[in-house]
Amino acid sequence: MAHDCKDCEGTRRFGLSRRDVLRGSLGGFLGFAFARQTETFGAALPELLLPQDTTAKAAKSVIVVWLGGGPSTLDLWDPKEGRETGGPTKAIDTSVKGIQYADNLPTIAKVAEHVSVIRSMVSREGSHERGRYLLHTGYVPTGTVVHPSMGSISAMELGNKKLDLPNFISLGGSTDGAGFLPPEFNPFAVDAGGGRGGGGGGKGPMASSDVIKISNVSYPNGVDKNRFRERMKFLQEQEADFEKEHASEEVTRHKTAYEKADRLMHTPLLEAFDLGKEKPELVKAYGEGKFGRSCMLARRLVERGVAFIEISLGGWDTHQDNFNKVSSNCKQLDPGLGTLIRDLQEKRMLDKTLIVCMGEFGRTPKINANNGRDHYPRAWSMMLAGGGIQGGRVIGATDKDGVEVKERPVTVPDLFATVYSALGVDPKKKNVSPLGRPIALSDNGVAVKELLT
Amino acid sequence: MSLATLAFLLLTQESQPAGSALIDQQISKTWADAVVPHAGPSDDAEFLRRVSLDIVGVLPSPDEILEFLKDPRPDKRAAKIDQLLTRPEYAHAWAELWEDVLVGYDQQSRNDSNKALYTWLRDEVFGKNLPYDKMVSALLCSNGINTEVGPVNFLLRLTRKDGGGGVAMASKASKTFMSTQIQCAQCHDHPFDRFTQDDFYGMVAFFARTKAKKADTMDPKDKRMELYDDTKGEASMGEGKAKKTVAPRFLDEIAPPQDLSRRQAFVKLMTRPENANFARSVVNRYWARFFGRGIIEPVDDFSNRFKPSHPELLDRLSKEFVQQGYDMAWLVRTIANSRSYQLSSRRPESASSERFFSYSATRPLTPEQLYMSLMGALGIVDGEGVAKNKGGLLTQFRQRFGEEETADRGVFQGTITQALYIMNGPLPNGEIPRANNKLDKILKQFPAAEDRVDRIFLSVLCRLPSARERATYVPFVKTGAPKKEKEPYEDLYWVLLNSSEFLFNH
Repeated sequence: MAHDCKDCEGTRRFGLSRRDVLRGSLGGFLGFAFARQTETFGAALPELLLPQDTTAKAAKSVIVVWLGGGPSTLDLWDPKEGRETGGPTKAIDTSVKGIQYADNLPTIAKVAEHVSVIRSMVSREGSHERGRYLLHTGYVPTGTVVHPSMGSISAMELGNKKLDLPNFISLGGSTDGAGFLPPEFNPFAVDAGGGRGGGGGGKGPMASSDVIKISNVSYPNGVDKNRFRERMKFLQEQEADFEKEHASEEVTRHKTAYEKADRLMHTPLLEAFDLGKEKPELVKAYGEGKFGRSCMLARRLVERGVAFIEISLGGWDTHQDNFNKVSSNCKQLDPGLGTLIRDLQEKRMLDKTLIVCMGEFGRTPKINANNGRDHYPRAWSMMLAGGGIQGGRVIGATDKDGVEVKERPVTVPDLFATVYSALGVDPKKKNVSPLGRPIALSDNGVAVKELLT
Repeated sequence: MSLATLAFLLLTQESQPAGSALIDQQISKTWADAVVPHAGPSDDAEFLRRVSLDIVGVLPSPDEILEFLKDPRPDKRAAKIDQLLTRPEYAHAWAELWEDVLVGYDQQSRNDSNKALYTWLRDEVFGKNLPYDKMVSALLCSNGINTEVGPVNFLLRLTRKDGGGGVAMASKASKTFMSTQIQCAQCHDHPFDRFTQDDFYGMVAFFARTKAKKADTMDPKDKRMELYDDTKGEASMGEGKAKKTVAPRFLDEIAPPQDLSRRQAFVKLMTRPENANFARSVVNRYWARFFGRGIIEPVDDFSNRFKPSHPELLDRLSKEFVQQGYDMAWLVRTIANSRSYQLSSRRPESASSERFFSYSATRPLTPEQLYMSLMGALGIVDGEGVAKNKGGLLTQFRQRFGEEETADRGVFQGTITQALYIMNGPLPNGEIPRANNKLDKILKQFPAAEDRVDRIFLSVLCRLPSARERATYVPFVKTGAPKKEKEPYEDLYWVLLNSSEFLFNH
């Protein structure tokens, strides 16, 4: 029987894992030493892994488009034209017969054969903080453990360890990180001005509002390559001295981080950030704003082997003036995301790249006195496209007013199970938390198989 | 018992306070039992850096270090500990630390509420050495407006969390002050403890009438919040027909005194001497601050899942803490004066787990310690030795290096972002070459390269250079091209600021 208390990390009903038994039998301080070693690294449990070849053409990279604030999905993927709850939003035909999106999404509607929409998402978290955590980790927040985010798990499962670029890059906003996994799976944040009021504390000289800047990768003023190399050589000597008598996990982490930082500063792959070589008409199609640039940059990062990119587009918390705000946000979202799908398809990369577009919850069908919509986790939509996912489908449905899910409810853990399956990763795979609890990638979710086959 | 361990105990001088001797006796006993090699004593510079970071959260100044190294008194370490406890940075550092534990820090670090809480902690608690039980009582029993009554801010932010009705307040109070995670019993009887759902809602009932409202002032623009006791409000469990009201009842089945408010009754029951976890929780938390890990780890979960490494020590030290009137300065003094705390961080070969406390753990600095260390090493401090928060830099540090869940510990996570920040970021790197900075002052004051190198080491690493380092850096700093004489010194500064030795406490 599944145990669903979300506030205590563990459960009595899992029973003992082989590892628990193993640890118990070692006893004494040896047992402790073993436990500590594996716990702190949040190590995977090889003996529990039963790789399942869920799909032949699993995706190799993921791009999440994060609509922070909670998007009004009735005005995106599940329009209710003609109903009072639909507001002024119209429904338009897409490239797939019988499927309509809201008129805010004309570009995406043209590539709908690659896109699938889940119109029956249900969750219970109606606050930004908790909803955001849930949709980033697949778990409800608890007091005792910080779960790894989808980005960190993807970086761990799909990432190329030899890549000079970080395997989890967030563009335009801070995001959830590695939780109890090793810190190398934390996101590398690039300020692309996506979050409301700017994500990174950047008051820097960003005169051209569209430049996406990667911070602190160039030498400080007055330092050239020779000086930098000399500094690094001295630093290595200092580290070697210190490590002799202070060998520890922390000191090793320091060394690894500095090596990776050095590699990142000097890798030719940094040219990914130089969008100047792209065709002007393609740049225009993506959209001139930072979001469009971020979408294009995401494609360039995927081309260079980065496993996971999150692009943040804020401004969806539309308690007031919902329809104008959504329509204005979509002037960025639609060309950026629509062109990304088309561009990836034309470059034959879409099969290997999973695209996910979602926010922390939906918004009320009822339009409030300020012409806004409020938080609504009970029935909402999200979008998937690309690698490992069948396109041109709609999963589930809400009732005619969008108030309740009418068929095939999909929970957030189900969504995470679907995503991991599309990546060829077993959603039941477990990682060990610092307190020694095996925690599955998906919280007892069941993949939406209509999307996978 | 090995000779080394015997020597360790014999070194325990008569000048050592009784509590410190207890620590050493208990800690060395486990080394003897398990045949664990342990480190030797720390040298004076090593001790001074560590104890300064732990008690006042800042690095010692070069002059302070040299004076301490010269000081011939055998009891100079105890004297230093006493002196640190009287410095204003002590109250500041511990107020920040408790602020993190009590309310955490969010993106808009230090809003008005947190500021009032911080100021109260600094001036009324640590500035006056208010006993711990009194501090907790104020945090749990106060009423009033958030900007005026600092301690109300602990409960205020919890009044509406987790569905309100006292659930979040009872859970957080139990976790923070008793290391007891009652919230597991919210949806089922506790898997790792003896609590039932009834117990949980009995605890919640103590907070069921604690509510927040807009401050009752004439000004409609006044957005301040006020914490107050309502006359109504009950905890209830179950749904539909099974729904029932639960009366206040403390974990071990004690009904509260009737003459007190519900929260006062809670505090009275929690601080009874029989409720040992009240003192054990804070003693363990302090232990973790000084040793890098608790006697029970994690520090906020004393369920039967996690066994203490030194149960007798924790019990006896906690009882002594109660005997001493919950005196937090006493607790700091007792721990810091122990030989165990003063062990070297030079890890003995084949040393086993940190659980034996057989050497001083190498642990990351907290964001606050790192920030103050950079400020100190670069000389960006005012006359009082308190850093000016330059344009929200501390906030940035908390975002880049901090994490709410482990706020009272170090969190240099070793990410690329963190490394790049120190390597190339504006705080150290804008300051290192600036004209008239600390480095310029050193160059002006000390004409000889040897002295300059010494001084830079003292400023950043709080020690004199080793023979290897002198032989490397003294010739190196003389290699500056004409008019660029300062550059190799800047390089040295950069190297030391980026080193593990600077970025960790050890």
